[in-house]
Amino acid sequence: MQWITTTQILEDLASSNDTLAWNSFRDHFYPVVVNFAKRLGLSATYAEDAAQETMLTFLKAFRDGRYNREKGRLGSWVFGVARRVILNFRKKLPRERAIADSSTGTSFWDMIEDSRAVKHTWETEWRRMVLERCLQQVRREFDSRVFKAFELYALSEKSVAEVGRTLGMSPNAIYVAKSRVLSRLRRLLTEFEEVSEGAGL
Amino acid sequence: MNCPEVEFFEKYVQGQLAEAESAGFKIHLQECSKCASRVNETLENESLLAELRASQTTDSLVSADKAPNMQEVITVKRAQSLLGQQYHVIRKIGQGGFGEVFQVIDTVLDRPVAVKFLNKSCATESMDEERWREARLMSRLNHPNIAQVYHIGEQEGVRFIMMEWVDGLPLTEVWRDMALQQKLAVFLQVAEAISVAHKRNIIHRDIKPSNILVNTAGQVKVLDFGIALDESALRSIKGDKYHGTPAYSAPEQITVPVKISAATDVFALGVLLYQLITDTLPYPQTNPDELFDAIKTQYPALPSAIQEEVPIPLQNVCLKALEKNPHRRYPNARSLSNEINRYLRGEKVWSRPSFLTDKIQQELFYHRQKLKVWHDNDLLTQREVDKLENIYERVISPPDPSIIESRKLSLSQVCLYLGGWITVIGSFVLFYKTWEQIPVFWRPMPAVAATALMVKFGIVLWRRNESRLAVGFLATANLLIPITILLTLGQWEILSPENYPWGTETIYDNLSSFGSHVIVGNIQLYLSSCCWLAFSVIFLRFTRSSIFVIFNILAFLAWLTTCYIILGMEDWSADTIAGRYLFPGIGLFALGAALDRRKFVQYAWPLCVAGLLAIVISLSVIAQSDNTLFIWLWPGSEQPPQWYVKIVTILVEGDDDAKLLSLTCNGIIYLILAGICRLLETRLQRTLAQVLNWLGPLHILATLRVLDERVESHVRQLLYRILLPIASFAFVFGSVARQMKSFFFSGLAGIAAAVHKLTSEYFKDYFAWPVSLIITGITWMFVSWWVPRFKANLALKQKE
Repeated sequence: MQWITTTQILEDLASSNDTLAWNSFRDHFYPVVVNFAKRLGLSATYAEDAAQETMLTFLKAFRDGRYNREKGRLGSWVFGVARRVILNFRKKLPRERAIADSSTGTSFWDMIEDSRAVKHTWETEWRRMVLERCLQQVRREFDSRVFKAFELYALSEKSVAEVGRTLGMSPNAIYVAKSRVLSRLRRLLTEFEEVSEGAGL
Repeated sequence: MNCPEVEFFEKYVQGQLAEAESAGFKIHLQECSKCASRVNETLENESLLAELRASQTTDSLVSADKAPNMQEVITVKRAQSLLGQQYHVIRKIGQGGFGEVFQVIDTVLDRPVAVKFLNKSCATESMDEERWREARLMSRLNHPNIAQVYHIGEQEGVRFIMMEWVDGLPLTEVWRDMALQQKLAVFLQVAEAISVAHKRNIIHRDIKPSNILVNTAGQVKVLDFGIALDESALRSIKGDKYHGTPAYSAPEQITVPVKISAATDVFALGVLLYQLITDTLPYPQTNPDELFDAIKTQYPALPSAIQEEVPIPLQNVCLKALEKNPHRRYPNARSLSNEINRYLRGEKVWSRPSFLTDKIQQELFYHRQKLKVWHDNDLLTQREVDKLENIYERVISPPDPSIIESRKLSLSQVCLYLGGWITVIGSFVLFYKTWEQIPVFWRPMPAVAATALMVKFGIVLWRRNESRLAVGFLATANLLIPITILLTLGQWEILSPENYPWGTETIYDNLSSFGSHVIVGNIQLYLSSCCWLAFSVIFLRFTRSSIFVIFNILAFLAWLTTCYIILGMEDWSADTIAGRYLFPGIGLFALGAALDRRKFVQYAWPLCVAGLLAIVISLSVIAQSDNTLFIWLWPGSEQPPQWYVKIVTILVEGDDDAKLLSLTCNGIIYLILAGICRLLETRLQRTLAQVLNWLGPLHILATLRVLDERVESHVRQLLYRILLPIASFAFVFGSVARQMKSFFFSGLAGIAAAVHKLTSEYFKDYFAWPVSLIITGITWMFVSWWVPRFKANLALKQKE
């Protein structure tokens, strides 16, 4: 699998108006920012708007040369931008909406004060994105039946008997499929973390 | 042992192996490094899988229930390293507002537990003692419907709570297949758990189906006291913080400043109940603005409009729990569950949602304004306006439901009152003798014990909001108090008449007319009536039930009478001349009725009442005199008609005692008169019919009371003596069907007469007789308390 490193993204973005590089950057960060915004209490529509604005703000700043690699990693820079943008979004909303969107437990006001907690959220979202991409990669690498067995048995928590019936596999084959997919997934994750400098925080 | 297959590793890691198998494998692991590394690998795989699952289930934040909050992600591996060797982490089972939860096996105690790692952001809550709030609160709540806390700990700065593992599904996933009764049974358990919390001044604040687990046996566990508050924390809470789940939030929870009370939980329970009975949320809006606006300003759709089969009483309970104003809701979960229990027992549910009463109030407001105009125009007198106002007041703020209900004659209510009455009679029978065979101290004790029991249970039941039963017990206590005091004073010879300085001639000996041998002194009588009056006032203040108003009047009358007695009151004796008023009475009554028909109510009223009074007095006098009613009616005839004599001959041995049936005849005449009054269909006549209805059954039973005195044969005597209690019981229980209070109270009087008769004829010398009466009465009361509950539980079990 060809991992795209942050360095690569930055170089491509700097060099030209390359739509491919832009798309790759977008693929990496856009879903993370959307989910991050939702988690900070924005509704789905607002979260997408916020992510869009984050992307544009980042790109503009980057093109203006305001990003200094020495000062921090790409991820932490995007995080900073996203947080600022989301905060501005929140200020525009009436107070009650802010309450409404935080669905359980702690209120938005508690969250935003605690920067550590916000960072955790960012990390969680980053991790989710990474997991999703690795899962896609594994799906490409394995035989479709093996992956399906893994998906049904491990992820959807169907019973072995049921999966066996659906796919025509022996129980042992299903256990083996699960074990193999997970082991490969773990290796991919380690690889990705090494290449992409984690969430950059 | 050989190295096993993949499947075995997985089962081992998930704790699904049998104990022996697992133990054998552990020994193998110590020797086989290959298998050990495979176990590690499988463990890591499982932890990754848990993370994958978690990340896949937390897609949308808008679907409130499953949304995780911000926290450090704790993987299975991390959890394992934090918990150490004794515990075996199986999988992550969920994320809540305040942390992540794992299924863990305690390998030493060999039991599954749930471990909740608290979100680090909780640490920003400044106060140290608040850190363990959830654990502390939960450990204070030892209740089968609340998940128990086993242990709390801290490792590497991460705090965790170890809780009882509940092998069940969230309510969200199971309720749809349940029948209404099962849903209510589940709901009651939740309410029960919350009410225990309320009792300890703890408010849950986040009641919702996903926080409620139901196991296969149908037992409910309430989880997640993560944002619960106790009273001390409540005082220190900042005024504008929001905690909870929007769809389950009460209006006072989402407005600033936030005011949380037990009623806040009641609102959430109301939402839950609404959801259970209709399968939808009362406020289904997904847009937060709309949702909050709806919670604050709109009434939810009527459950019966969504699901036709929702019973109206249940709907009313649900809507009352969902009132906007917390003061209009049930004050706590206990009151709510009591109301549901009443519904399940088939009792009347009196809850009314305020928008119904608001509507009535609105209409009455306009009507009252009209009254003012009518009065100003001289269409209504002030007195009439006052009367109407009184009625409106009663409609707007009806008396306590339990009091209305205690006036209704249901089977259990009748049993309750009957039990109380028998207890009172039993205590009264103790007056019959001085009971030489019993030590002095113990003679009044059965009555004292019964009184103490009644007061005690009356208070206990009142505190448990079972006011209907409480009023029954306290009313009995109220009647027992003067008897007990009199009895104790008499038997223990305190203030006895022999010791009066002014001699014994002022002794009131009317008790001897009941066949009593106990001499009661005037001072004793006075003292007991004073106490009765005092207790009646206390009970009235305590319960505000109208029955104690009656007792107050009775006690006051008794007190006045004793005052008169002490002052020396002359006996009033009846005059046979009173019988002459029969025909004038009928005439007066007929005239009054005629005027009433022509709308001259103001003249009809005194004529009718006077006429009726004359009739009643005359008939009673005739029944007591030597002449029969027939000779009164047809003064020329020497003998009553043949058929009359025949009936009398059947009933008594000989035809010379024809006046016997006069009492029954009177009773029947009164009932016929009542029927005529009702036929006239005016308000005055309806009132008169009610009065006559009381006299009828009383007279019929009075016949039975004297019947046995006129026969010689012992068998027939016994038969008649048994007939009276049987008929009385029939009257009492027969009253249930059509709410015939006249029959009910006549029956009670009949029972008293029967006991009196039986005592004086057969049981005069047996101390056990009054004691057994008291015990029977008390037992009856308790049966009426328990049987409906028992039946409701049985019905529930059968449905399950």
